[in-house]
Amino acid sequence: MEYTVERVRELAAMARISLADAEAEALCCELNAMRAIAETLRDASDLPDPFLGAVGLGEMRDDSPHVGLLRTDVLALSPAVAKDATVVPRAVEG
Amino acid sequence: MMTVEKVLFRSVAEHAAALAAGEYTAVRLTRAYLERIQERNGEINAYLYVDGAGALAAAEESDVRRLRGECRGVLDGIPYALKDNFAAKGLPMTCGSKILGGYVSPYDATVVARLKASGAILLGKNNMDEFAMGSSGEYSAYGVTKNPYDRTRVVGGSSSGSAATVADGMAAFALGSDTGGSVRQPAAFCGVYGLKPTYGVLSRYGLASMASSLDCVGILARTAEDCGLLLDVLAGQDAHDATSVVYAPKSVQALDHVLRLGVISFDGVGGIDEEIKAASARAVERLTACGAVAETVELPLPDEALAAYTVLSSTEAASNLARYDGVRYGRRSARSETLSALYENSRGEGLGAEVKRRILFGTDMLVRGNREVYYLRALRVREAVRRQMEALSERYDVLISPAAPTAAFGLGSTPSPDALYCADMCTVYANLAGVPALSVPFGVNAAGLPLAVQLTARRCGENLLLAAARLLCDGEVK
Repeated sequence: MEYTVERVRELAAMARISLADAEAEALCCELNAMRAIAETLRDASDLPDPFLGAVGLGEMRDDSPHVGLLRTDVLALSPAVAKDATVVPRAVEG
Repeated sequence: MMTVEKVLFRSVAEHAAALAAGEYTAVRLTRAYLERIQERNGEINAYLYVDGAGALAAAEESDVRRLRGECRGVLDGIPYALKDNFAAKGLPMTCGSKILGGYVSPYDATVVARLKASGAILLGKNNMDEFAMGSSGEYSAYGVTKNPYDRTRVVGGSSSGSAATVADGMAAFALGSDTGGSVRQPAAFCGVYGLKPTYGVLSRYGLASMASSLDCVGILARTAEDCGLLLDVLAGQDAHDATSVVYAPKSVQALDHVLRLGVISFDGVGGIDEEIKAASARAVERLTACGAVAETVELPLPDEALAAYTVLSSTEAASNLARYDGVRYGRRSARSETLSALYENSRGEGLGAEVKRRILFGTDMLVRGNREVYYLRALRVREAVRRQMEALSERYDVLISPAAPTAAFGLGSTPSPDALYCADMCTVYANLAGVPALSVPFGVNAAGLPLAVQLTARRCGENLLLAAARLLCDGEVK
């Protein structure tokens, strides 16, 4: 879908930004260029879910061990932990 | 006897040694930098605000501490500059935008507080592309920053003033921010080192957010050793930033094994200058001559990664910048009769064209329908890139690529679409994967403009980066 002046004005209203007519017209062209880059994502499939992919739905059980509010197996998957650093979210600190 | 100008271009380590030896005092050094700023800033426009009185007062305190034998370490008495998107208590903070005109920060960013505690002396705030959006230094509401090597050329961005400051001897080092290359690219254009550490190693508390999951505090300095010294002082967990991680300071150490080098292939990608390709090839040759084992590698999902960066950075910026509404911060429109008009007019008048473009695009990417097609898929692409970069870092200590596809381009000119595409390809991977990357100056082109290569390592692998950079520049065989 190409950006039109009307669509740009709708987006500007959502973002609470006043636009001059010339600005809205210029933005159509620029936003179309950005949209063309983003279109590549339409073809992106079979990629891991950043939140569930690492753990796997089969392993999601309520009786998993926790540290504070965080499951230990999820915490252990943190890349920082794996590389000898420790992420300490506030939930654990508290 | 060394001239004042040469002293101004010394590294942090050299300044520290000279201060310790009594060659000069912190006051004398600070005054020399302030004089240099007065002499040069009108032309370069690297500083938006200079705190001369504050800097000299801090320098006097540093000298007193040193006389009493209470020196706080290697940074005590060293003058530095700060990109204007960091909070420094009592100083203006504009983020290069009209909408924050007149705003004065009520607190110190964590990195500023740590530098203050270490005795470093803040000279002032640097110009930047508005809200860190831009890669040329031309998108500041307060004027263009010019390249010290050639005033007709851009300095790069968005940490434009910070890179120009270090390159032109207007501070010993500077802090910038890097969301997609905003420290490394201007560093490359200005012939200085630019370090983007691992995501979370440097606290973002007090750094104005652009894209929170990509933003990193970055270091601009004259040597790899300086980058290591500064990282040691600045790194560490911060209760104010839940994404900060523990990082063990290690400074620059020699490699204890043969360097495994992955040479990123840009075959089939247009837009890279021949001189850049030649410099990169020379860098690989130098490292292999020092014993490194090199193999060619491909970047994962290149088209998808660029799309993911475009979508994620814009959506997060649209959300983060919603707070600039004319009520809580800075500038307020004088011609509004309703609250809604106040928001819209304040933002319409206060934000620049580039910022508006990204906010509108980010807003569109988050509306129902688009969120599923673009935003959620962008998150998946980032996860895939992160995993594949992690796999690469198991096989290679360091990846090497150009830091930018061209040397600094002319003011007012737009690089070709191929060059823009390639510029992003060079730098955004490190932000998407959260890994550290370093821009290393490496020679000049026929016009005398700096060239650079980029080194990338695994998470918390800054020590590898700095050691490889030293190997590259000194040709040391360890």
